[in-house]
Amino acid sequence: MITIIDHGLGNISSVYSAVKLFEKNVQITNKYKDLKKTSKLILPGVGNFGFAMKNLATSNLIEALNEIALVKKKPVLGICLGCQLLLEKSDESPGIKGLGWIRGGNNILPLKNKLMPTPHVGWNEVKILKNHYIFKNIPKKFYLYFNHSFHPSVQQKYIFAKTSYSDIINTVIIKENIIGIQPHPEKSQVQGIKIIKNFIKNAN
Amino acid sequence: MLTKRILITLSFSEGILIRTKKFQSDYRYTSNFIGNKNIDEIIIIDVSKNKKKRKKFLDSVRKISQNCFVPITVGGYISDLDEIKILQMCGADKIIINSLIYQNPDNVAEITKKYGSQFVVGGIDYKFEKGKYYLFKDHGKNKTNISIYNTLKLFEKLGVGEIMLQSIDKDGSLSGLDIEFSKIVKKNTFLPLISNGSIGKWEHFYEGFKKGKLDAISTNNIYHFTDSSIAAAKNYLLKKNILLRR
Repeated sequence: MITIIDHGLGNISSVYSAVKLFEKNVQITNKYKDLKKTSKLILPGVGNFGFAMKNLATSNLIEALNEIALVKKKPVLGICLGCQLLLEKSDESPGIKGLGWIRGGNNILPLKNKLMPTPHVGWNEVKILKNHYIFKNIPKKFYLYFNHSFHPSVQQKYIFAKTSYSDIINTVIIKENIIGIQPHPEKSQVQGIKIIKNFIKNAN
Repeated sequence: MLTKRILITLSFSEGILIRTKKFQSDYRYTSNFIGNKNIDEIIIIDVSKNKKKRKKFLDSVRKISQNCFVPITVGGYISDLDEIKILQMCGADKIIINSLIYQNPDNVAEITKKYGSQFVVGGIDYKFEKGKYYLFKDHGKNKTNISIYNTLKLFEKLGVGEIMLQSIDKDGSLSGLDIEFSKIVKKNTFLPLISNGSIGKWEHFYEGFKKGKLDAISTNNIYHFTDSSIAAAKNYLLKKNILLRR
């Protein structure tokens, strides 16, 4: 069962529609009891870091999520805000702890000039730095849809793809079974849908 | 590098897909471009006379979103905070706020705080009258007295993530974009800028990106009137060195 976590924010239906293309067994939930059957976990999202963490805590999900990701080591895909939640903290909500599965924090994108406004919205080029099953059948450089003001900052060894904007964005971060993608593959047409497919078909 | 974006606007009146002219419904031609791989985003606007057929509109959004893997922005009649969750469940990645910003700016701040700036597009509907630009609310019905500059600063202060310009006069006209207006707006804000409507030929896209400094251009009617597809528009612009997603 693929579990998509509903943390109360964001367009979850598009992630659901994309997963549905490849897998029938998929649930959207924020209930502790539903998580047991999880074979793969997706943390979607747009929205506020603090709100999302608070909603996860209120739903008593954090411990169960920790078990899935860190003890059972099930494949995890965090998208956009879901990617940021994988880290320890964010400039967006100072003092609020993230899931902390990958060491690091989320920084606000610097505002350098009018050619690079914040939020970073639109299609930007992603450069793959290291091979991974998530990139199967995808060219080394390709476009994904971004929509964010904060971005993940992690150790070099966890960075698998990057994108240039007002800062170098760590577009794809991976630590063992845990994958975080800052842009929205579920909103990025053919190449983005391949990422979703690769996660569903190749992760185990 | 971030690409420029080519969007399509789908207007729905009483739940039926239509085209518009000067913000009035025009039922002559309807179509559906959801499957087009070249489109970068879709904007869906409820242009109904009232909210009575809202459910039918929401059903249309849901149907489109189930088959569409590009971002969807939903606009029209967005004033109810409780409805936002429903819009998201129907597939909205972003919403367009217009009248609410004049009526209840606190509500806009609440939305951007909860859902993030990237979720909210600030709509600016305008007319050029007697040598001056005026901004309008309530789907082009009521003129406001607030200046462009103050509106932009208000949008920024409230945490809005993008701005979408719509010329009421030019809507449906195919006469090209109001380059002067987009230049004024771009000069006064850091926010990404979308212009909606009035593209009549591929050159209009080029002018908008090059001279108007627009980040995204959305239109609708031109896709009906020519045999060429969105792919043709993109090929034309790529040849002129406008960076687009291929």
